[in-house]
Amino acid sequence: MAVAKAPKIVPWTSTEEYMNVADWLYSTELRERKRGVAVVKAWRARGRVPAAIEATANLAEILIADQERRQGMSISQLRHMYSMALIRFVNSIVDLEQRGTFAQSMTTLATRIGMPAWFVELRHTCTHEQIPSLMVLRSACEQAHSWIGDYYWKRQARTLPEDTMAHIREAISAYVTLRAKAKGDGSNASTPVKKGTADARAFETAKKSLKLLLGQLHEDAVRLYVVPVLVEPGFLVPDDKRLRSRFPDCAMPARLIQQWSSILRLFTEAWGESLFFEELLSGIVATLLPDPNELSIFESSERSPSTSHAATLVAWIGWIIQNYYVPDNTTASPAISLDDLLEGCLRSPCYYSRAVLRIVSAHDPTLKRELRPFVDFMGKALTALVAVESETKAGSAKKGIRFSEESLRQEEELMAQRLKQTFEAETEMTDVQAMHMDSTIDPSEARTQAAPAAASRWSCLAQPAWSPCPIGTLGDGSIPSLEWPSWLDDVPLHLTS
Amino acid sequence: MFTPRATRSARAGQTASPIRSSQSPRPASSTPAAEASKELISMDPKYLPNVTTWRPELASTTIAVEAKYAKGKRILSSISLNEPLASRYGVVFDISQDHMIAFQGIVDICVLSGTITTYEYVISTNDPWMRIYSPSSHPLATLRIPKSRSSSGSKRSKKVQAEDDDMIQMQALWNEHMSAKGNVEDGARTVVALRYVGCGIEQIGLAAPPYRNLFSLKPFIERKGAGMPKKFGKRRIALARIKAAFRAIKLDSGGLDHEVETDDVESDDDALEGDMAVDEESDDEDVAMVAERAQLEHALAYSIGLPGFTAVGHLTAELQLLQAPQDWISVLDQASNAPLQLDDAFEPIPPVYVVAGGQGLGKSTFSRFLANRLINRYGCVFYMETDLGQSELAPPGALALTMLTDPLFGPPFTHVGQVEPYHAVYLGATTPKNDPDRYVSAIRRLSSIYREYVSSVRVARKQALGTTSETNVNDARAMDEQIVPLLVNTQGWLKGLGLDLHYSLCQEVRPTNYIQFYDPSTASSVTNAGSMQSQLEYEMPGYDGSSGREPIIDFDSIPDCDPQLAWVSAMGFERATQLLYSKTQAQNKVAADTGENVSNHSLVTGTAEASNRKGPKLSAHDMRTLALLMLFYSSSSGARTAVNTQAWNADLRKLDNPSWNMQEPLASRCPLAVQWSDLVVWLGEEDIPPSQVLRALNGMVVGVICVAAAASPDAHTWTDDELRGLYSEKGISDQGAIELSQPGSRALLSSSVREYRSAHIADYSNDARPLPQIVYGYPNINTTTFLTHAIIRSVDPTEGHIHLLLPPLVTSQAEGLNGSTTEATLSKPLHRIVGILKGPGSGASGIELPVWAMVSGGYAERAMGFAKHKLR
Repeated sequence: MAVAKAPKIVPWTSTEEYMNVADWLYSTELRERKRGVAVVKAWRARGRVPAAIEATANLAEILIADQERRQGMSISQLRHMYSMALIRFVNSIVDLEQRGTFAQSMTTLATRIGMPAWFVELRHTCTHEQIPSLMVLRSACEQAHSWIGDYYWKRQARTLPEDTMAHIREAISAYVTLRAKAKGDGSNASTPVKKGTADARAFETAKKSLKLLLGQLHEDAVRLYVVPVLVEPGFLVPDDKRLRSRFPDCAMPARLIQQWSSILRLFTEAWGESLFFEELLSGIVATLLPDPNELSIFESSERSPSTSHAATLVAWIGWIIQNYYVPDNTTASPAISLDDLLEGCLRSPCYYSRAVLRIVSAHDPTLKRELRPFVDFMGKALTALVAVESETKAGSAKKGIRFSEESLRQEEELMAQRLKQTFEAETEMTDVQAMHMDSTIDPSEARTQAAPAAASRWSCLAQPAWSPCPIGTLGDGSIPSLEWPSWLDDVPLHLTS
Repeated sequence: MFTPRATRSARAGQTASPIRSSQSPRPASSTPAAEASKELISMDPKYLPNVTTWRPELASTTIAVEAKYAKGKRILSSISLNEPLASRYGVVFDISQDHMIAFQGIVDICVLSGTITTYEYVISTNDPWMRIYSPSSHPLATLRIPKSRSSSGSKRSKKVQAEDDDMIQMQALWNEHMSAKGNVEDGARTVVALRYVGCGIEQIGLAAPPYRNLFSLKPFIERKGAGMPKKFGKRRIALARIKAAFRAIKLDSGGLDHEVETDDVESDDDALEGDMAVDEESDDEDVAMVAERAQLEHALAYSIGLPGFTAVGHLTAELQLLQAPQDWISVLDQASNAPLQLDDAFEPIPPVYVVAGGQGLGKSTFSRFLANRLINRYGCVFYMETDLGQSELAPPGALALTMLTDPLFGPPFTHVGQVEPYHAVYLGATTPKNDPDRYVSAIRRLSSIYREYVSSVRVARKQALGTTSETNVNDARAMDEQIVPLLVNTQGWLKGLGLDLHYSLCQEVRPTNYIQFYDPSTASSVTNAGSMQSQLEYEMPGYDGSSGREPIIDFDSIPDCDPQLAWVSAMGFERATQLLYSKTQAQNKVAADTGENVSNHSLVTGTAEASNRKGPKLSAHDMRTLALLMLFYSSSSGARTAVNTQAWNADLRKLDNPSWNMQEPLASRCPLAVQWSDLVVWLGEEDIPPSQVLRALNGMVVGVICVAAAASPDAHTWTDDELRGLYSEKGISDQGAIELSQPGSRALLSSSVREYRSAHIADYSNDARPLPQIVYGYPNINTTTFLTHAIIRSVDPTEGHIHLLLPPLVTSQAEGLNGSTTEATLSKPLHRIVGILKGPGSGASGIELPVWAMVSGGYAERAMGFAKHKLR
């Protein structure tokens, strides 16, 4: 296995937090701006903050301080602060562009990233000459603040995700339908394309806007927005059920490929074959297969797609594997890796995952050998399930269900009894622990003791009350809101001596 | 059956070098093959090599292997015939004077007869089992016989635990063997028992995949293939592999045939000649050579038969040997033998060693050697850590004074966080550049604590001696036992502010011995730049010119400080490589005397392989990551816990005694919870608004601060009542927070918060949860000490709890936590904790939680999943 690539750690806990800060830093309300600056300060203590965010917060903080004038700063103090913020802003942003062996001039780099030359000049004046007037600096910092909003924050394309998804939906469907119109309706290419027709022109504009959108979307956006859109009905899976694939053969309708191959090529150009198709595969698997943590084996969930929808998705998997996957045993290294796909399938065995595994087996003889036991097992389990279901249907359906429920409950009780017997000692211990934990949690009870014993300050979180979860989240997996009221920031500090 | 002999000595084989020495006898070929095969099946390694030996005298690219004595598992199997025992215990073998064993892996060793030295520590029969680490990231550790037998430990006999059944039985076995065989000569030999102990560290790959090969060594053939120039093609590797496999089969089945061997393989000097003459022929010879070496390692592994311990038969390009040049040895010898200086009152002055030098010169390695030598002599040593970036005994970010009684047998991450510091100051950053004043005052504090300790010991001794007799100055051994020396590990930053800080350090510490590194390569290139002469001088390990020795510190300017200066040559990566591939000192001197021809010649061969070498495998950042991971994944404090199993044969699993648990991800571990109002949160210089403090703490590494336990001259020592006095009904009191903080800090006291709230906030409710005491500043270094690192695993705002992951140093003594015993005593580290210090973020050289700690166990995906759910 290849060396696992280390994920990048960012100081914010969620995209939501990130977007909130973006909003706050550009809010017209002083209170919200302050909050944004405060959160960025917390981020700084947590990890590496991108230079653009750092610069935005610095500029915002100075602007706030100027607006408030609470600290009673003199004009020269303000000018110094403004100029330092400006110098740091220009340097940190331009330095990001500084690549290669030879250093390039600031002006060249600034032009390349579209930074107004005025900032660079001001930076020079601030550093080497007289500090400019407060009016000039104030206006420069305001402009810099809004420039960085365009340069960085808007380009992150992480404005409200619903909007992004809507944009993507719009652009993709416009491209696909217009292309179909412009290049003839696919099935029988009766009307050859003529340049200059209205359709072709419309298609060109759609293509351009799609390309523009793709350029703006970060790689993360593929997983978050593009793939979810593609697996929705109406995209890779047509709305018209007659155009979909069917089980068990899951043949790919030729029409679909004709419709989609060109836009898929655009996607691969934008993000690379392996990235895009791996994301698409895992997106499809996630749609096909319910979360194994939530469901028991072979239980069907409400979120599951309809049969024909699933069949078409399986067909797409087959198409992707056929065109882009090279089995390991041949010389070329595989363009895409199936690890995630296989893991997903094996973790949640069901009818669909068996179909997917079959397709994989068909394309990779080595994997086929390894996968056969799993496929066989799934097949057997599925036949058993089908048999049970048909039996219940044959008899009185209600009775059958009740029977099975009852037997389950009986078994459950039996298990519980056994568990109790086996782990009686342990359970007692846990009870004791729980009691002690309660005593520490409940402040009133703990404080009744005259002098609180130091030992009771610490308690060990044990399994029943606490379950493993990612670092930073609580036992139930939630990310708590960790902000105290903002008035705390105004409480005067005590100077120790 | 392999033929033991010196292989591929050097191209200079025809010169005077004694490569084909008489010490490589071939086994008598007259031994009937049938007998041999029978014996082999019954594990008689009569014809197996039992020692991998690398003779520095014969150093070129060669490891010479001897099959002089066949001990091996034979002793074990002949005496006890106990299967699980045999699989766990390695060979009992002997090493001759001029050989050493280079190995990779982890092993417990115990000396049954004679003495042995590793990491410059002399292990004798009095010592308990010692665990030695030799990871692939560092030069190979070696076992060899100490050159000077004088320095056997003085105090260390006390450490032998009588209840270490394991060792007693091992010694019994050995004695039984001695008496049974009537082997008089065996008594004079050095005999070492090896034990396999699954300590868990070898599974580091589970916790951090990039480091998964830290303790495994690739088979010789693969190493050879990786290190060889292109000339050594794939075809030949494949051929060699087949040959080796074939021989291995023969070896395993016992059907050894040395006729074939001795005829088949020619001596390597011939092989090399062939190499030069005809390329085609040399192919086969090379294949033969590679195959033989591969087989040799296989045979070694077979004969030692210990999992996790790989003796290295031949140094391939990626391997380095842990070696000390002659000038190091003489300085170390000085440290372990020189008589103590006496002060005016004829009292011995405890030596204070400062090791100084730039980065990448071998300072850490030397300090480790010196620490071990000092422990050997004095029984224990105070180790003062002043290198924030690459600490030896604790994860980075702290200045610490630690009492060491166990030698250091591995790189820092193998012994990180095992010992509670005597006193420590947490800075929370990997460099002192952002707070130089605090750095210096911390050193001042630690030095004064050391001096306080020394004088208290002296007073105690005088009282013990009473008026009856004076100190016997002549009894050197007795004097050593009363002394605890200090060893100061300094940082490699010696420019600008770094130099100023180093000067301040010397002012505070006042060394009696100052050991400075100098780089002979820069020295000679300055004197006669670019000439061939300088090249040769560079290669000469014993270079002893005095140029380039610029003292870093002018000690004349420091009053009361006149240290003995010692110079040691830098052992950077390149020089170590050159040393390995050029000749040893003795030979080099000869070469230099007789003309450059010889050394020139040997250099050519050396550099060919040397050029394939890569630099150090772990960066400073890697070392910090590993140190933090090892700290939090460790499962017991004190790696060398005595194995105490009465039924040692019955339950061998207990021997495993894992010191690390890499299988359970950190995120799966039950944390300790504490009310945040019971903690002071120090934020140092960080500009975090109070409303954002919880956000800034969640998921971060912090320093755990507790009340000082060490006796100190200028501050009071805490009592249980005083500790209790810090707390009020609502957690730590305002007065407590002020008392614990450095003067000049700004504190957000709970009383101020209450007042402000009642005055300004409309919906003021009385039942609001109290806040922690937030202090913008640092803990008071006189009243508090840094205990260890902790991970703030999560924060529960509804309960007002902070959930912490603490290393076992703290938690192992917290077992009775939820029991009925609630006495608050200073004896338990957990109960001394009064707060946490959050250093700067990782963007400002702060201490960062390694990414592997967060993602291991598939938690990254889950975490991202949560983030996604939140969006919907």
